[in-house]
Amino acid sequence: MSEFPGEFIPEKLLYRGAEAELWLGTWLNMKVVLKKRIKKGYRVRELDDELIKSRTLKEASLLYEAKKAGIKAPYVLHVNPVKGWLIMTFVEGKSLTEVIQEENEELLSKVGRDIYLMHSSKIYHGDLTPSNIIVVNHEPYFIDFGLGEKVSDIEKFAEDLNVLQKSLQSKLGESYYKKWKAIVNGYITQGGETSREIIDRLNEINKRGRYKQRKKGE
Amino acid sequence: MLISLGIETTAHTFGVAFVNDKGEVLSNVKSVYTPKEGGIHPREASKHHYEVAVGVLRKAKEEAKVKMEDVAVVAFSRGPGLGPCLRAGATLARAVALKFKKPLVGVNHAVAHLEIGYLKSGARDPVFLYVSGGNTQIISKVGDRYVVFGETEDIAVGNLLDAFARSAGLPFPGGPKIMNLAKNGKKLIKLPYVVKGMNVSFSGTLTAAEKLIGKESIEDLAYSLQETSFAMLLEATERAMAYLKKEELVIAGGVGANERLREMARTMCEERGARFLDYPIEYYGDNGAMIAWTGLKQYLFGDTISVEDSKVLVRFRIDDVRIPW
Repeated sequence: MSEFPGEFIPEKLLYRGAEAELWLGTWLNMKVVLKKRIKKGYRVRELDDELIKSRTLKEASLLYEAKKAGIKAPYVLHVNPVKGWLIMTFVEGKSLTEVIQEENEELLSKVGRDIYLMHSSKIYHGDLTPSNIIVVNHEPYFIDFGLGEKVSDIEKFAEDLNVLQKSLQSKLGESYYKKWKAIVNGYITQGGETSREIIDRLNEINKRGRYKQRKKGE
Repeated sequence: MLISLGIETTAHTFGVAFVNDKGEVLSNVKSVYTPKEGGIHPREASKHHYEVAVGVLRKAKEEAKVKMEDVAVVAFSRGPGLGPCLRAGATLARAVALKFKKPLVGVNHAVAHLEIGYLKSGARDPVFLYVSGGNTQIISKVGDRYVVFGETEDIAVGNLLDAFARSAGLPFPGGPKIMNLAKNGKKLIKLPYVVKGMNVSFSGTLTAAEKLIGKESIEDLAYSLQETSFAMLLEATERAMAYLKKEELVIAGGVGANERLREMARTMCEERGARFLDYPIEYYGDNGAMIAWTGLKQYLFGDTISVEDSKVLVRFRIDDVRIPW
């Protein structure tokens, strides 16, 4: 049986991943999402407790930092690091995956701008797929910082972009190019010289990939 | 009935086996090179392999009760591995193939570990956790290739255990000694735990554990090292299973002989409603049977090579191999 924080009334399970469950429900009359980290029986108790605690705290603090950097993300309402519970406001919208075909370049440019704001605050998202970007009234919201980290290595920021680029490529096929260009434009307009360095690194990562593929065919 | 002769000499192990086309292992003999001190020395190991070659082959032949005339194909481990060791096995395979006029098959060592895992575990569509002295990869079959979804960003988990054992003055092989010491460990010492998506990194864990030698009891260190590194492996593996929506897990490679790792794998699978498919320990570590079995499959798909083209491939990548079956 699932255990829940007091006052939380579960409505439905949104998602069950390897690491956490995501529940939609109400808490103090607010529509919220509860992220519950799953205890792992294969890990010794002390190690599991420690990982759940530190990861819950880290995610809460990254969400806070992201908002401080000026990007839209869920508000953290309640944290219980011992239980591994994180209650956040529910971002009600459609994922970028669903709306990207009909959305204009302005939204994509905002996506790029916000990713740069995140990176300039040394936040590496860690799983920057289009399904982790929610669009509400043509504004992007960023969710799931569970694999994120505070870093200053531009390689990590380029990795973030690479993840987004690759998933757009596989989802959109040839039509991805225009969409991706709008995102990159937003990123560079916001970040100037520093953002160009990161884009250069991204291109380098892409070349590494091609080199690998060419080698396979030898 | 087709019978295959397999020769494995990638690293420490010189293994020879006879396997038939039903997947029955008729014999599986090995001789393991043990360094007097330090890690493996490729030339010393290959010297050992040349010395024991004929004796191991004879023993395997006797146990299998086969005559060379009955053998359909000679398979050898072509790589990846240590050049001098690989060449020892290749030399024996070529000699046998030429003398008895048998077709020759070059087998990818990593593919062979997974294929014997398939055969012995009865898995249909698993995620593989391939863990040995030189490899740490999370692999699954996509179309006609084995694809690596996650791997170590630095050293292999077997290397972590061996290197720590050496630093602690434990004689080779370090893995089993650490497993036994860990059973008496009580205190969990905090060591770096680094998982990035489906990848892991062990070098920081090794350095931290080595620094504590002499300061903490060896039992507690062995216990903490195992608990930390194996939990990292299973977290990355579970993520791969969730991502690929696979319900079976098979471990391959020498570290799979570790009881604690298999116990943790079983628990992880039970908790997510998946199945951990175990099989006899002799097929986890390097062995001739995996080469014979994989070689036989390749032979059935016409994948033979001439002696002239049979040079070993030290950096033979698993995704370079097409898997037609």
